[in-house]
Amino acid sequence: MATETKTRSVTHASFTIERRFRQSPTRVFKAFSSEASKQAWFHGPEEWGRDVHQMDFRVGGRETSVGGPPGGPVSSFRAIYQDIVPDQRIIFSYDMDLDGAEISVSLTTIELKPDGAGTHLVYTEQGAYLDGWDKPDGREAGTRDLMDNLERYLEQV
Amino acid sequence: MSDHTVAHGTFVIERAYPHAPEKVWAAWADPTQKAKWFGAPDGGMPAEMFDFKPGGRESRHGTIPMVRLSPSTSLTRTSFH
Repeated sequence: MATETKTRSVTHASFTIERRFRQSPTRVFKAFSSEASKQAWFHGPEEWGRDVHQMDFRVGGRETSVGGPPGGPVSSFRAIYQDIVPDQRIIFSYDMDLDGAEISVSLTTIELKPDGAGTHLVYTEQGAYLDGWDKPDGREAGTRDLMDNLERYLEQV
Repeated sequence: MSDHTVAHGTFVIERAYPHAPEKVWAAWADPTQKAKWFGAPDGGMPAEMFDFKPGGRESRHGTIPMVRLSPSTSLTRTSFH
């Protein structure tokens, strides 16, 4: 356990990422709503190997992803879907756990807007980062990597 | 295409209470105590669910008076759940 006499602290931060995709909002939405599609791009670096992922995509439904580098700490992502408007909006809350230590709790809003034949995606995340484990700029960089994964996935299918 | 919108907002409130952290904590953690201040002032919004632990859920349903400050201050009855 990593919870020995560590100083308790909270850092609040928000970030916004915008992307434009050539694919339609319906196609981009499916990359988030279909479990098989999401597993194709929502994962850590290749060297982590395959995470253990489950998703129940409906309001009140849960999603979990557990993984990490070989021999390294285990990261757990645990989300609850709060609002879903097909092809337009997804809101979920999630927390991250690192080897048993709670490191963050966040609220994520994904908006999909028509952009010609494509999609303008706006990803807004409001987070509480706990006890100095993780920093907002690191989380934003990780999320940008995920959006890169999503773009590559959309170009493949 | 749609009238769906999102406004993102954050606010911070600070209060100093003349009570020990243990007492203030109990007002959040104890279901009987929380029902006395969270929601209707007469305790008329009891918890249907109150599972005070990480991952646990809290659910309440009722009609409570809420003060709305915009566009002009007025007392509006709002469903909260």
